[in-house]
Amino acid sequence: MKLENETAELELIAKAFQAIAKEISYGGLADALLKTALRHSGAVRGAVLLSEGGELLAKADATFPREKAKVFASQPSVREFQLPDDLSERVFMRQETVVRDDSRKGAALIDRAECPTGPNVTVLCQPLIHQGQTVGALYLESEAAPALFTPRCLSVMSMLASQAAVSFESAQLFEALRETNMWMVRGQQIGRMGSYRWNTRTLLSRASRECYRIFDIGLDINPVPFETFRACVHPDDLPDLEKALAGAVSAKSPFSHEYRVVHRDGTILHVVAVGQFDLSPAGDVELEGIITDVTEQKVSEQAVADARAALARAARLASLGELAGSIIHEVNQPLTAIRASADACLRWLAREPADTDEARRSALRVVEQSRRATNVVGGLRSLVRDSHLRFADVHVNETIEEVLVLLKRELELAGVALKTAFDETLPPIEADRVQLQQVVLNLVRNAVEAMASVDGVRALSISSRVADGHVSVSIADTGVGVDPASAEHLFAALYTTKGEGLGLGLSICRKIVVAHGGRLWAEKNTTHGATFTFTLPARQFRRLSGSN
Amino acid sequence: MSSAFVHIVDDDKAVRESLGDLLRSMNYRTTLHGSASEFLDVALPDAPACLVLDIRLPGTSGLELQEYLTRVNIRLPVILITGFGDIPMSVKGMRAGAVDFLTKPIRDQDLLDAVAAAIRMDQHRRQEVVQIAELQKQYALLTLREQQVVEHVASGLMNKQIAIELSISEVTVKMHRRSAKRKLGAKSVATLVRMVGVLHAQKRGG
Repeated sequence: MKLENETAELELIAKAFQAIAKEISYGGLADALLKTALRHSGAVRGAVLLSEGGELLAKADATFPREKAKVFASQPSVREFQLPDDLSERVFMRQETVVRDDSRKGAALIDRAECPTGPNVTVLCQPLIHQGQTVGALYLESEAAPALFTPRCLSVMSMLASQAAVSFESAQLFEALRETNMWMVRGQQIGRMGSYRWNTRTLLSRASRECYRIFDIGLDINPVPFETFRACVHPDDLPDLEKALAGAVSAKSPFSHEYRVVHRDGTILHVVAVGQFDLSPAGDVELEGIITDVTEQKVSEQAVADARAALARAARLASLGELAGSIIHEVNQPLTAIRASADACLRWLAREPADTDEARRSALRVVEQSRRATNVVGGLRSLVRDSHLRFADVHVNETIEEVLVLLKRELELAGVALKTAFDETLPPIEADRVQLQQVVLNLVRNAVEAMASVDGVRALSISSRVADGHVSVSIADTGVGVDPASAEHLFAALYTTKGEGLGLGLSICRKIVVAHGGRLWAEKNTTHGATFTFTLPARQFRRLSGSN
Repeated sequence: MSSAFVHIVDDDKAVRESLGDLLRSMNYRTTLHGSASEFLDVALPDAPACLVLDIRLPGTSGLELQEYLTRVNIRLPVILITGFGDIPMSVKGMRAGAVDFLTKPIRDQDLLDAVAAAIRMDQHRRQEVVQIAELQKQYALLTLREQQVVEHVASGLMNKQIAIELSISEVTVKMHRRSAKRKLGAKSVATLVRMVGVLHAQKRGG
């Protein structure tokens, strides 16, 4: 009988342990503990109190749970729960298990208003101790004889209590973990920043939720295969990204790269990925890092850059326009007089009889006004003479690349794909770096403008090579092309096929190239667009300033 | 020799002199002015004329001068001459009623055509002014009754209706009509109606 009892008890305890271990929330745990305890002890009422943060509860009441202690479960539920001070002291402070007969006055759970008098109650209060700390208490009341809380029962209660204490601690840890995780997820959302870990052997990535949003990948794909990731990257940015990744992997160096991501609905995001290498538990090299969605910054940066470029352009056009306008006026006035006087002269001579006096006067005016025009042109010539060239050793490829950095945004905005093919064996040449960059800048801008009205592919290829003692640079576009018949006119000042602009760009370009002893010309491409090529002598003889 | 005048206003002496030279070789009489105020200072000769006006002038601009002339009812046909980049101004000038605009440097044939057209317009306008003045003078010679009858004829009433309207006999209406036609020199009723129309238009036009 005793043995049977013991088996039943053990079974019950095992079940209770299972029930308690299953629960991960405070409420559930407290409920499970209390139900088991009530069932096993035969007590009529009970409660579980929990202290938080290691501090003991002096008093806890159900209507107003203190921050440090809460009644998580009581049965039957009561409006008020008040642990007598002395009991609280013994159980929580001294960690004693208290069993005592009490008047109803000393009971914590009973509704004193309803039953002011009656038989005494027996109270069991068992501390829940984990690693020396009282994390709570199990409180039971029985109206039966004191024999109800037998030593055996007490030992079972004690076991339950210690198991519960461990579970409460786990629940607390779990809770803390969940909170931390929630913070991280929210933080990543707010910061538009996701974390990832990429295994360089398996090429699989694990990533946080925000990464899935940034890349527009379904959350069910986990881990993410490299191909899935690749498919999200803007095709134009893929080659550079792969190059950067490969470089970082082989050097095991910290990785940082900016690229664009394309969503399934066509939305384009700008992201910055940073990372560093690390070994996985399995010994694989893994890239661990953070990807930040910088689209918004990018958009505002772009707006500022656009405004700045537009302003610079407007200022440049305005000053060029003013200059050109006044030049034209200065030349046009004598030209008007010459034309009118010459016509008049012919008409005087055509009279019957010819009015030679008038004709002579008209002819004199022609001479006078052509002198005036010559003076204007002479003044202009001194203004634009290549007296400001500063020659130095220049690496043509580098010089071009610097210009391309300046134009990156402009190209991006215009939807132009850039391809460069530089001959790495180019010798340095003697040239004016700034002027040379002016030429490249002008030619690239012209190319972009020529492609603006083209619906199809907008591709710009820039190549350099060396041949016959000359370095040559070609800038090819897929724009509207050039009419072979008028290809030479392009380089005349004030010739323009564009709606805006004054047509000074190409004439200045040619002037600079010629001043360097080179040539600049335009050709129609066989398919579409045009190619502008300039050559510069590989070995430039140093020119003296203003030796023209 | 044509008696038509071309007034040239351009601040560039060489330009206005050479244009003057060219126009004189085309048998026009010319007056040259360096600014809007110089032009306004001299009295205009009583002859068909037009104004060749540089759109860009220091002080009062060509467009402002054109506007002023319109405002004070000097109906002189205007030919604008423009330099590079003055297209928007030229458009404004054309809207304000310029006959033509020529871009510097100017082709002689363009100038000739423009000036000829402008002078023709001015001659026509001047003729009209003279005719209207003549007509007004003749109309004033009609008696009040004759004027009343003519007005009613012009508004399309039959003799009988006019008689009732004016409470006179039809025979009397016919007599006034004949007399008015003779005084105004109108050979037909149609001419008479047109004359009244012109006079009315003149009155309305101020």
